[in-house]
Amino acid sequence: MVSTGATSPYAVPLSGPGVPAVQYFRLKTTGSPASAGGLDPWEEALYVANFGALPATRDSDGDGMNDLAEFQQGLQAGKKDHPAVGLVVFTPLEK
Amino acid sequence: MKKIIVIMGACLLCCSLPALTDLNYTGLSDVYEFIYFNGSADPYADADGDGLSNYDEMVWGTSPTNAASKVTGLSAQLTGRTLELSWPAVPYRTYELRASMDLVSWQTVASGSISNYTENLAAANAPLRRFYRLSGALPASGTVVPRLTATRSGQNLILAWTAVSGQT
Repeated sequence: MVSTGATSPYAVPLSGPGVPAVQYFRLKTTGSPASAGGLDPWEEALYVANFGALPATRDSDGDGMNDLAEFQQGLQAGKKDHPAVGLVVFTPLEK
Repeated sequence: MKKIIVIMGACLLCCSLPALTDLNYTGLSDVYEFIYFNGSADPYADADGDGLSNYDEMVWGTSPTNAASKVTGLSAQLTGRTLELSWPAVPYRTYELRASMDLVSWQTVASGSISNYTENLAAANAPLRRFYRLSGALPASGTVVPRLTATRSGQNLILAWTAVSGQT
């Protein structure tokens, strides 16, 4: 890993301590402009066709986070897998 | 006398990254996986055993868990000297129909959000025989694999690529 969050252009020193004689570079991108504001149209249409509602209005696994938010955060909409799940609140027993 | 040869079938051709939400990096849409598998799935597997991979089913808009839901390919109808090819189109998909006289050299005869193609066999330049091939694709993503270019500037190597809004 040379850099994370790098912007173009990115300068790499060719000489100096620790610089290897041969280097190969691979650029990886994350995030999608198509999904930044929601799902892609065909995904949303498929979801609505199956559930009759927009993903922002349904919480399939009942974990308090709607399906759209789960998709956008890479969580599973059908499983209670976001960090808030598992938090157990103990309250004093009433006398 | 002209012979009409129609080979019905469909093949998948994917030239660009499809637009989909895939934050678990399986190659399948997370929404598609949730609906049909309630979790991640193998794009190369054939969950319903109908001969199409889960990925192909996603692109063609069929169900990966229902063997009865699969691509049926082209249908051909000859009316007089007019040949009409048709196929079941799915919303948001685009199709490309290509034709060849020798199965080697192919040319695109129709493309886009289309579900049929008509050819006049009585036309003066109509070929003696023709083969057709249909490919389908999801909408191309605005996300394209950036081309990395490198130039040298003094003792530095300058790597540059086309930045896309929303991507890091």
